[in-house]
Amino acid sequence: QKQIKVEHSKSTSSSFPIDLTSEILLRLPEKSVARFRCVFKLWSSITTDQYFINSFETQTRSPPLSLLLCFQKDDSLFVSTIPQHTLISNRSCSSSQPIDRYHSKIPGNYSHYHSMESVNGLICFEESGETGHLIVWNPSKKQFLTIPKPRKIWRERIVVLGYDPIDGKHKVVCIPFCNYFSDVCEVLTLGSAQESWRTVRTTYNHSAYRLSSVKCIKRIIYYLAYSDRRHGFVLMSFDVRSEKLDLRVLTSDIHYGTRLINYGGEDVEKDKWSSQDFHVPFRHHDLSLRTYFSLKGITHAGEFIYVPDTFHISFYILFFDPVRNSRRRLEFNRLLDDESGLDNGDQDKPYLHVFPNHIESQMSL
Amino acid sequence: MSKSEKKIVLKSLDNEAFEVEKAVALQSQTIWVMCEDKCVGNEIPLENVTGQILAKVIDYCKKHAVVDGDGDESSEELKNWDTEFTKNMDQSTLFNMILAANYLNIKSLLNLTCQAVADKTKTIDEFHTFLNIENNFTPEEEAQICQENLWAFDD
Repeated sequence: QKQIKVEHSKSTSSSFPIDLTSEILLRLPEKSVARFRCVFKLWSSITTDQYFINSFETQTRSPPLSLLLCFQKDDSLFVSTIPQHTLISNRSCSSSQPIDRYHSKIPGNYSHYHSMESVNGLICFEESGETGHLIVWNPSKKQFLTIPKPRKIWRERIVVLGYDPIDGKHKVVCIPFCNYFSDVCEVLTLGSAQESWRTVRTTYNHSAYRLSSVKCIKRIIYYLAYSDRRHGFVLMSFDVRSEKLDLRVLTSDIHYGTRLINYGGEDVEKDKWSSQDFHVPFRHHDLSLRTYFSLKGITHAGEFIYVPDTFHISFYILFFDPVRNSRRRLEFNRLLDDESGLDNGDQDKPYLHVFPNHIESQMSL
Repeated sequence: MSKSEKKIVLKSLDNEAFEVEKAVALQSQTIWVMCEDKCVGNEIPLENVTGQILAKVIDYCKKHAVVDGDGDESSEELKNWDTEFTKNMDQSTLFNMILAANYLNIKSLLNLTCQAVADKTKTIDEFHTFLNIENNFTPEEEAQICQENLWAFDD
C-alpha cells in the first residue's frame, strides 16, 4: 500500500513524489526516458535503477510488439521496426515506416542469425568470416556486445538467447546442430561479472536440426532436435532459470516440416504442445521481384510471415493466417532514398532478416 | 439499507462538501479503508484534495462506478470518455489529479492521468515545466550522460 503524505501548498510542483515521477516515466516511450535521463540527477538514478528497468519491461500493459526488419550493406546496418498492432486489420496496407540506418562495426556483408527470434528485445547473431564473433544486439539502444566464443568446438552449432523474467536475466545458449551430436549444451549469463560459458548436461545425445524451430516462451527455450539414440525427432527444452536441459516431447507428430508456434493462452502455463497440420508453402516465388519468399516466422496472432530472402527498394511482406485461410500484404514502397545504392538492378542484394514480436528494451549491454 | 447509508459526504481541503453514492466513493481504496474501519461518520474529510480537483475525481468515479442500472457502458465507450476526460486538462490540473488519485488510491485513475502526462510530454522542457525542477547536473556530467544516451536524440 502506498502511503505518501503530500504537503499541500500553492506551489506543489517541487514536492511531486518520486514514485509518482517513476509512474509517469514508466509510461513514456523509451527514447524519451533516455532523453529525460540527461536532465535531472534524480531521474537519471531512477531510470537506471534495476527495479525501474524491470518494471519498464514487465509492466502489466503488454508491451507493443513490432516486426523488426534489418539488412546489412557495406558497413551499414539498416533497421526498421513496424508496430505490429497496425498490422492487425485484415486489409492489406502499405507502410511508410522510416528506416533507421546506422553505422556498424560489423565487418562483411553478411551476419549469420541463428534464430529469427527477438528475445525480450535482444537479438543474437554471429559475424561472417574468420573471426566470427558472437554478438548480442539491443536494437532499441543501438548497442552491440561481443561475447566470448563457446568452449566446445562443434563444427555446427546454434547460439540462441533465452530470458528469465523472474531474475530479469538473458542467457545465451549454445546447442549442437545439424548432425553434430552431443549430450551437453553451453550457457552464458549476460551481464554477469565474469561472462563465461558453463556446460549443462542431459542424458540425451541430440542435435538441433532447424533454425526456425527455436522458440523462447516465458523462461523456456524449446527446440526441435534429432535424438541419435532414439532415432527420432524430439522436442528439447532448456529452462533458462534452472539451467536444466531436458527432453520434452517424444512423438511421431514431429517431422522435418514441424514448426513451433506459440499460440499463447493457457497452453503456455501448462507447457502443453499439440500438433496441428497446416497446408502452407514454405517458400513462394515472386516473378516480378525475381526473389524467393521464405516462411520467416509467426506473429503473436498466429499469422505466418513470408519475407523476401533479399532486400528490395520496394517489396512486400506476406501474412498468411492458416486458421482463417486468409492472406494479406504489407507493402513497402521506396523504403530508402536513391543514395543508398541499393536500387541498382539485381546485383548484390543484401539478405533481409525479420524478427517478429520484437519489443523495446531498456537493457544496457 | 436506508437511503442515508447509501450516501456519503466527502469534504475537500477547502471545505467544499460533496454528497455521493457510496458505490461511487468506494472506488477509492483510501475511502474504502476509512469506511471499513468505521473511524469516520458519514462525512469524510480529505485533507489533500481541493474542491475543484475533488469534483473531477467524483466525475470520474461516477462514470466508472457500477451502480444499479448503470453498468452496461461498453469498455470502448468508457475508453473514449477517459480520453476526453483528460484531453483538455491543463498541466496543473493533471498534476493535482495524479496526486489526488495517488492519495485516494484509485488505481485506474492514477494509471489514466500518468499516461495522459506521458502522452502529452514530448520534450524535456515540457516535463521540466510539469514538475518545475531545475537541471542539477554539472555541465561535465550532463555531457557524459548525454553522450551515453546519444541514440535517443537522433531523429
